[in-house]
Amino acid sequence: MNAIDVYISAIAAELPDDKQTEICREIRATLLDHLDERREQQGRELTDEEVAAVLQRWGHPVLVAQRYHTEPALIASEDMPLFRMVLSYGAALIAALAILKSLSGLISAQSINPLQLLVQLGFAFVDMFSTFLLVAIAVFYLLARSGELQKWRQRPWTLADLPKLPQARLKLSDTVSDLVSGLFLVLLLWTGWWMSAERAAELPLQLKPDAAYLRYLLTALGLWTVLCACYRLTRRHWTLPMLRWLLAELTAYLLVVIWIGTQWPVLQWSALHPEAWLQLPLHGIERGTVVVTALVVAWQLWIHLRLYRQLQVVNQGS
Amino acid sequence: MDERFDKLRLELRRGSLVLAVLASLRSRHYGYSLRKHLADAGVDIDEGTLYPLVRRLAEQGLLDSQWEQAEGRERRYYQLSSAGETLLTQLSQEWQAMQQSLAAILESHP
Repeated sequence: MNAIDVYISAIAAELPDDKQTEICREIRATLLDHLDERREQQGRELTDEEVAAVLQRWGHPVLVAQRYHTEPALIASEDMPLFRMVLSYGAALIAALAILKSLSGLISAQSINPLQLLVQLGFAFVDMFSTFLLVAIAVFYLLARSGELQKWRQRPWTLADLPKLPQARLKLSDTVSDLVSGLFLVLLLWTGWWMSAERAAELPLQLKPDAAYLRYLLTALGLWTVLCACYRLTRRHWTLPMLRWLLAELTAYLLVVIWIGTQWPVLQWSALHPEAWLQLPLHGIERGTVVVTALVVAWQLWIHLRLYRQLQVVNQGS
Repeated sequence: MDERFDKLRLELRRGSLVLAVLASLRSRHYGYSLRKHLADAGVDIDEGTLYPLVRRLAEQGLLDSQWEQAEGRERRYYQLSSAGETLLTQLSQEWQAMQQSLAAILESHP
C-alpha cells in the first residue's frame, strides 16, 4: 500500500459506505494530477517525503472527508433559540420533579439533612435531565428532517404578542417555584396518598382534629397555584387577566394565613413521636411560620399589584 | 486587524466563488484543470474548497459530469448542465446589478 492508498483509505473510513467509492475515486484522480504537476516542476520523480508533504498540505483525512460529505447538524443554528427554550423548560420541570422527589424522600425518612437533600437532588436531576436531553436532540433532529421546524421558524406573529412592559416578562424560575410550592403543599397535606399509613402516623407533626377542614382549604389553594403555574408555563409574559388570577390567589393565601393565625394552635405533636420532640416550642414555631408566611405573601401581593397597575396604565395608553 | 480582514474577505469571496466556478464550467474541465483555469484568471481557490464545491454543484444538478480516460488515467470532467446555464444567467444578472449598486455606494461621498 503506497502513501496515497493509505491516505485515501483513511478518508474512506470517515465517509458513509454509499459515498466512499465515488468520492475516493475523485480525490485520487485530483491528487494524482497535483503530484504530476509537482513532478513536472521538479523534472524528476518525487521522493516519499515530497509525496507526504503534498498529502499533508491536502489536509487531515477527517477534514477532507468532512468537506466532501457534510453531515447535517443535529441541531441547526437557526433552531437553537427553540432548542434552548425547550431545554430550559425541561430543566425547570425536571428540577421541580427532583425537588419534590427529594423533599418527599426526606419527609418519609423523617430526616432534615441538607447535604443529603442536595445529593439526592443533584442525582435525581442529572438522571432525568440526561434522558430528557437525548430525547430532545432526537426529536429536534427528526422534526428538522421532516421540515416541521421550518414552519416554526416562519410562524406568524404580531406586535400584540410581545410584552408591553419589560418587567411583564414571565420568569420561568418564578413559575416553577410556584409549581413546586403548590405541589409540595398538596403532598404535605395528603401524606397518606404516597406514604404507608404506619409511616404517616409516625410523622411528628399532625393537624389537630378540629383544624382538619384546613386540609381541604389549603388543598384547594395548592391546586389553584398548580393550575395557574401550569398555565403560565405556556405563556411568555403577564397579561391583566393572569395578574388578576394571581392577585386573587395571593389574597386568598393571605386571608387563610391570617385565619390560621387567629386559630392557633392548628398543629399538634403526633402521639407516636419520640419524647425529644416535646421539648420544642410548637406554638412559637407555628406563630413564627405564620408571621413569616404572611409577610412573604403580602410582599408578593404588593409586587404584583404594582405590576398590575403599570400594565393597566400601559394598556390604557396604547 | 489582518485576521478580521481575512475573515471578511473570505465571506465576501464565498458567494462569488460559485459564480466563478459556474462561469468557468461553460467549458469542460476536470478538477485540477478547473483550478488552474481559475488561478490563471486571478481567482485562487484552495483545493479543499474548490473540489467539494464542484461536487456539491454537480449533486444539485447544475453540472453534468463524466469519467473519462485521459493521459493514462481516469478523470472526472464537469460541464454546466442546462439547469446550471439558466442559474448562471440569473446569477450573472444579479451580480451585475449588485456590482453597480455597490460601486455607486462606494463612490458616493457623504
